[in-house]
Amino acid sequence: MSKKLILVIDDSATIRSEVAAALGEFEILQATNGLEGAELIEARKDIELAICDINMPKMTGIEMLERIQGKAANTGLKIVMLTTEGQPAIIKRARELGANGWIVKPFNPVQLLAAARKLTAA
Amino acid sequence: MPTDAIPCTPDEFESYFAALLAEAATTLLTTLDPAMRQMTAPLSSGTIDSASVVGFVGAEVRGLISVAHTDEQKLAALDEDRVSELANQLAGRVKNLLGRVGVGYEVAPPLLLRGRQLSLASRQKETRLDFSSPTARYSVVAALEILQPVALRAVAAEELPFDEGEMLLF
Repeated sequence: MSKKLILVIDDSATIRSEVAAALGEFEILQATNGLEGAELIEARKDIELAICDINMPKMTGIEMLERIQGKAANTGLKIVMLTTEGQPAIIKRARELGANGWIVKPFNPVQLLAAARKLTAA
Repeated sequence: MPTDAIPCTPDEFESYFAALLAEAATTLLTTLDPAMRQMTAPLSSGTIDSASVVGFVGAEVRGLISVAHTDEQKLAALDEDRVSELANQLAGRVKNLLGRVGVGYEVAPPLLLRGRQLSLASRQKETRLDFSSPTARYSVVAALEILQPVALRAVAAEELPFDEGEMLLF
């Protein structure tokens, strides 16, 4: 059985590497900023979950959510924000824009894997 | 000013900021390496090989936080990125701690400096914390400028920032 596909969007290679290591049972696609992430989400139908930072160059995570609203090629796509930001106002904004979850860095690998399994369950 | 706000003199807030920085840096670096310890004496200057600098600005405060790294071996690219991510997470941790008392700021993307025997200096009063483990040494340097009088206030429960590691599925 082919692995489910998760897109990790973060300008930090360290974070992308750590998330990929935590989610070894998934196939991982990487993007280095919100613009790359948005383009991949708009182009591909097979991404099941996107894990996305907030503060990134070229396009922030919030700007990416605004862009892909209603435009995701895969309408079943789940999105979780992974960020240092913890302010309730920005969390509320992300939820309004369609995000399905929020994790404040640093993440717990076991919790992240459990969340990924839950969000990609059929 | 809200009636429950506690005004701070500049010296008081600088001390408070330094304490939050120490708390956040200690937690962050000991999570990275449990053998990491804060040093009471500063590390030798001119031994920094890479440093990441993050600027921040808010209504009451602005400044920068940097994480500098030095070890015996040249850092691989991923390790340099890790220094940037440490600075980013440290600035984020301090932001969340200050958010609990009603002081806010926005953070800029980190800038990584590479070189040999770098040293860091600021025109502002700076806070410097040095950490060491058997395999690496880190210096955290922060410069803070107070733009207008700061008053600490108790933030309503619904305004409290989430803690590091917290996860919420909507």
